[in-house]
Amino acid sequence: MQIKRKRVQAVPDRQDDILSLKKSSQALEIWGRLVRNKTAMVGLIILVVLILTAIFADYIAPYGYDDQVLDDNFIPPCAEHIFGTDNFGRDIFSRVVYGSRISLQVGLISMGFAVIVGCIVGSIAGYYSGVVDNIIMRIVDIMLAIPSILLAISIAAALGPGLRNVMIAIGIGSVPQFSRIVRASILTVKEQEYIEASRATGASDLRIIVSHILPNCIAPIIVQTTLGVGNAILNAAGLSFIGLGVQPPIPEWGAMLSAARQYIRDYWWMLTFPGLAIMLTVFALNVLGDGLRDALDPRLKS
Amino acid sequence: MYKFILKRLIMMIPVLLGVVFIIFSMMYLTPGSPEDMILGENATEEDKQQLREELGLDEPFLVQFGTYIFDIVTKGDFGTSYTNGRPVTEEILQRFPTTALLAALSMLVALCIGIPLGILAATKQYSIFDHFATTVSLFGISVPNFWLGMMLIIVFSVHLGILPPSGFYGAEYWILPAITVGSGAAANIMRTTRSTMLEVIRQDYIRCIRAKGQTEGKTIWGHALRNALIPIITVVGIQCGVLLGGTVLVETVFAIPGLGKLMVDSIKAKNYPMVQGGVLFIALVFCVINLLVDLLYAYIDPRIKSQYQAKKRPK
Repeated sequence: MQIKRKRVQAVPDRQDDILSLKKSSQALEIWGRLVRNKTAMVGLIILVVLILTAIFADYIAPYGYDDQVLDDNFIPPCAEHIFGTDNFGRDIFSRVVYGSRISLQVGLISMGFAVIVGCIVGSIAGYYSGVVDNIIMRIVDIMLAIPSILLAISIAAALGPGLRNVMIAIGIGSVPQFSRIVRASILTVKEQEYIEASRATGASDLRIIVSHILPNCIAPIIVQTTLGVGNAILNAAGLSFIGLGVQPPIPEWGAMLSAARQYIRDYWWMLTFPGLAIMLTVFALNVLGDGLRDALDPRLKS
Repeated sequence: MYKFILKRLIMMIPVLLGVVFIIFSMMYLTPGSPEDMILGENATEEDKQQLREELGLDEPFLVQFGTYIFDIVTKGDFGTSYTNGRPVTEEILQRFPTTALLAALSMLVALCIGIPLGILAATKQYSIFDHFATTVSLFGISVPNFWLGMMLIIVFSVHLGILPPSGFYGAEYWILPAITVGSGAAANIMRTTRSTMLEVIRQDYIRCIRAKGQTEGKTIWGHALRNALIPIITVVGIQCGVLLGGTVLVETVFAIPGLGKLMVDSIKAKNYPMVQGGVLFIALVFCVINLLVDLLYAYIDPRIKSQYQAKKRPK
C-alpha cells in the first residue's frame, strides 16, 4: 500500500519537472534571442536606468521638484544645475528626474487598464464570435474612426484635467487596438485541437480562455503593451502640453514643455531637457518592443 | 466597382452615427453647464432657464441627440459656438482648408523622405546607411512632434533667423510645421517600405527580371516598389489619421489658425459644440480617407480589383 502511494505521487512530480524545465528553456531561448539583439538591449538598459531613477528619485535629485529660489531663475546649465533652472528658479534636472515617476506611472497604469479591458473584450468577441463579436467589433471600428490622440483629447476634455483623468483617457483610447489584437490572436488559437480536447474534458469557457487560449496569445499582447506604454507617454505629454493633462507644479514632462513654451526665445534649456527625456523613454520602449517581437516570434524577422 | 463604393459609403453611416453618439454622450456627461459658460455665473435663474429652453437643453438626452443628428443630416448644422454665437459648421469650414493644407504638405514631406529612404535601406541592407536610416526612423517615431516643432523654432527661427516661427501666410511659413507634422509619418512609412521591400526583392520574379538584364533602377522602382505598395499605402492611410490628430498640437505650437488650434482653444473655453463638431468632422475626413485607401488598393493591385468586382456578380 505504502509503495503504491509513492508511485502515484512520483509520476505527476516528474511531469511537473519536465513541464517547468520546458517552460524555463523556452523563456531562456527567448531571452537569448533578445540578448543577441543589440538595439533591444540598449532599449532595455535605458528602461532599467529610467525605472531605477523613478524609484530612487529622492536620492538622485539634488533638489526637490518644487523648491523655488526666485533669485536663481533662468540659470543656464552649469555644474550646480546641470540642466539649468526654470522661471521659478526650480532645478530642471530634479524636475526631470521626478517627472520619470509620473510618465512611467501614466504609461504603465493606462496600458494596464487597456490590456485588461482589451483582453476581456477581445476574448469575448473572438471566443463567442457571431452576434456578440459583430456588436463588439463594430463598436471598436467606431472608436478607431477617431484618431487616438483626438479620442484621448475628447475624453480628457469631458473628464477635466488631472493625472487620474489622463490615465483614464489614454487607457480608454487604447482599448480598441488591444481588443483587435487579442481577438485576432484568439481566432487563430481557438480552433486548435488542444482547445477541443480541454472542452471535451469538461473545462468551462472561462477556464479555456484564461488557462489555455490567452497564454498562447501572449506574444502579440506583450509586444503591443511595450509599444503602447511609449505611445501613452507621448499622448500624456501631448495632453499636458495643451493644458488637459497633469497640472502644475507636478513635474510632468509634457507640462514642463507647455510651461517652457513662452520662454522659447531666450531659455532653450527649459525646453530641451524634458523633451529629450520623453524622446529617450519612448525610443527605449520602441526598440525593446521591436526586439521582443523578433525574439518572441523569430518567423516574423525578415 | 461603383456598387462597392456605394456599399462602403452606406457602411460609413452606422460608423459615423456611432462616432456622433460617443462624442455627444461624452460632452453631455461633462460637468459644468453651458448656460453658466454663455451667461456667466452671475446670471439669474430665469435667464438660465430661458436659455436652456432656447438651446433645447431641458429636453431628455435622446431627444437632444435626435435633434443634433437631424440638424446635421438635413441642414449640415453642427450647432452654434458658445463663445461667439457663430454656426459651428461655418467656423470649421473656414478653418479646415488651413489644416488640410498642413496635413497634405506634411504627407508630401513624409512620402518624399520615407519611401526613398526605405527603398535605399532595403537595397543596401546591413550597410552603414541602413543602420543610420533605421536608427533615425526609430527616433522619428519616438519624438513628440510638438517638441520637435519647438526645437526647430529655436534652431531655424531664433538662432539662424531664416524661417518664421509662427503663422501660416506663405511657403516659408509652411516649411517648419510640415516637417514637424510629417517627421513621424516619414519614419513610419520608411520602416514599412524597408521591411516590405526586403520581402519583395527576394522573390523569384525580381531575380528573373534581373537575369533578363533589366537595369537595377527599373527593377527596384518599376517592379519591386509597385508590388510593395499595398502595405505602404495601408500605413499611409493610418498615418493620415495620425497627421490629422498631430496637427491639433502642432498648430498650437506654430500659432496656425487651423481646425486643430480652434479645437484646443474651444476646449480651454469649454465651448463644447465646437469640440464636438471638430472631432466629428475629422472622423468624417478620416473615414473618407480610409475609403480612398481601399479604392487605391484596387487601382494598384488588379487582384484586389477583381475581388471587389466579384462581389458584384450574383452567386
